[in-house]
Amino acid sequence: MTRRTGVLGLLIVGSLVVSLAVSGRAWAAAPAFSITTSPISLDLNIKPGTNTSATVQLMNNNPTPVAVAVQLDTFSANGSNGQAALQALPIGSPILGWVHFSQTSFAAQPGVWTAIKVTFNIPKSASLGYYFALLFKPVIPTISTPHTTILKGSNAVLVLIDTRSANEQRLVQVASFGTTKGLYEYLPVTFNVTIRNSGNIFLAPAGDIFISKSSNFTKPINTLNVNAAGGNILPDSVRIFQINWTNGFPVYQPKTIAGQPVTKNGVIVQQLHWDFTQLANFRIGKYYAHLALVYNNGTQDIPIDSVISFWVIPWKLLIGLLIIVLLVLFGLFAVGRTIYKSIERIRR
Amino acid sequence: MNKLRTIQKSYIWLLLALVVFSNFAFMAKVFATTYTTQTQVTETNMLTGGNSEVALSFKTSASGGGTALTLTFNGWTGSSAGVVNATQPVTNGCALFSSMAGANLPGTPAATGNAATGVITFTGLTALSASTAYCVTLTSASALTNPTSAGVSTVSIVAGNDNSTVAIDSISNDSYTVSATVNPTFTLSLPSTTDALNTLSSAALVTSTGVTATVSTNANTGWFLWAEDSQAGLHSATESKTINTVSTGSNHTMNGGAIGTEAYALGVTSANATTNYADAGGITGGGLSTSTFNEIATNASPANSVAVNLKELADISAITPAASDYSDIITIVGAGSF
Repeated sequence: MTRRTGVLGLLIVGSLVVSLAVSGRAWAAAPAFSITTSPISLDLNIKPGTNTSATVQLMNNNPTPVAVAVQLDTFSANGSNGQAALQALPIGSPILGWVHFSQTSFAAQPGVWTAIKVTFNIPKSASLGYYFALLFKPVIPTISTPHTTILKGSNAVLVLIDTRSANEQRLVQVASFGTTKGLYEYLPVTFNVTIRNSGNIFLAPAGDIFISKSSNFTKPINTLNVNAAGGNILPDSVRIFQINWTNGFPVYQPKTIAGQPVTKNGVIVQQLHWDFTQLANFRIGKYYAHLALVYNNGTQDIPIDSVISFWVIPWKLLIGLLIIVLLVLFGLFAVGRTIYKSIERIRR
Repeated sequence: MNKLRTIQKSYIWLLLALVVFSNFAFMAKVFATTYTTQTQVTETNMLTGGNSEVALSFKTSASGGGTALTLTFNGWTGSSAGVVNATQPVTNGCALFSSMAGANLPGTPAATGNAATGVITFTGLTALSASTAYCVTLTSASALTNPTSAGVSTVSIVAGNDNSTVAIDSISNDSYTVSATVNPTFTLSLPSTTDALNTLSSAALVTSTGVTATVSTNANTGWFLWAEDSQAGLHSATESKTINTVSTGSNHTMNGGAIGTEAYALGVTSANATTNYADAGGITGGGLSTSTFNEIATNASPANSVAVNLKELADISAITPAASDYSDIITIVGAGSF
């Protein structure tokens, strides 16, 4: 009995020692994939028959090294609502030979920037614009597991190349300019500016929306930037720029928890924000918005104008005020009638 | 003659006595000098010709006492030699300088300066306590105007019965430029590389647990997320069967009439979903291509750890072959907007 207990104790101690010896190192929970790339995109002017180089950097944010493969894709406009789509270049495409990477696969060490030099050799026969996506794909072994979807992540750096060809047509039009609603109770008022690139090279028009109470815009209330960030519109596509006029009182703002917007059925929940320092920005009545855009057609700046109107009626607030006024009037009437009756009674 | 000599001798003794007496009578009173300790005079701006507030801290000696407090900026006689302002607002304490501390000056301190002599005189003080640290600030933005030439000036301080002298510097350059670069960056993170769908049913829509991709970028033009499905749906190798993805280019409802029919879709439940992939109420999604990365989420603003919630939705029919190895591979690509 004593011997058996001793052996059992020895086994327990032995197991503990082995467990401690082989236990894995504890890591803070790290994402399965996390990569940072820089720059975000490249706008390059490269004349046919010349070449240009650029450096793209990648950082692996995971605690362990990861193998990364570099791939050249293209992108183009997709559909009519301003979306883009990526596509792999067909095997054997001559364009694959135009772009050279200093390394096509490498081990990205944790927390270290890896620089990749990209050289674009544009042949003399090239024309108009080229739209490349430089894909950085972690090479992570995938083992199919039943009833599961395997998710792979990749980063892309988008490259827009303008060959400055004489055949380029630089032309954009305002496809539509409007507000999301004709009548707003409170700000923000959301403007949708849909711009169509009818030319054959990417363009980045920019401008302002002037807001005024009068149709002749003698006293603009506010000026809002349109495409101040210089977003490009791909040829034969549209891009929708959404601009919010938020300078009002009160104003709807996205509800956030820990910095993240709260959504309900995929829609961001809005809540009314009453900042009484903005009382002077109480909005009511009819307003006019004047869109003034400019783009360069290669020889000169071309302006584009459009004017719309919209209403801001804080109707719930007005109904509340009306009810209060009616109650006050009713109260005054009731008091007056009581006094009148008392006087009449005294007279009799 | 002897009598005359005696008288003369008496006068000499008398004269000597008078001299000795007068020496004692008119001898200057002798004081032991006492000094303040831990004395600091500190400017907010040491630049030559610059205007500055000034703070004074000191600790009185063991004897202490006295109500006088003066600062003499030696050689500061106005203009390029250095100027003390005539108006000197006083604030007790030395809040401007974390290294200086002390009690408030006793009484109701006020101060005036003399530009011609460089002397600042405090008034309204009651007796300073012995062995006590005091701190006071002259808060006029131009309490002092430094000499136009770089160099060291001495400041004599009389604090009650104590005094001391400290030095202050006027320097020709008191600042340096800090420059930094913030790179334009885009970060995509996935917390997991698998998303479980569990057992599919011909009687009800089955949705996956979901994976939340996180996007961070300082791109002013915003960002995109695209997706591609390398298998065009959920594929079983053992049955050589694929539960096909729904078509791309539109948003599909996966419950109601769709129940009992094979269909597979990707839904994005967060507000940044594109129209075709918005998962409204957990029952809608879009199809993925095997050759094109379709845009599944986007936003036109910079993103600080913005969550993009991805879910797969699947329906099967009653005759979908039984297999336990239905699986799929979806590739997500993220980029800052062009």
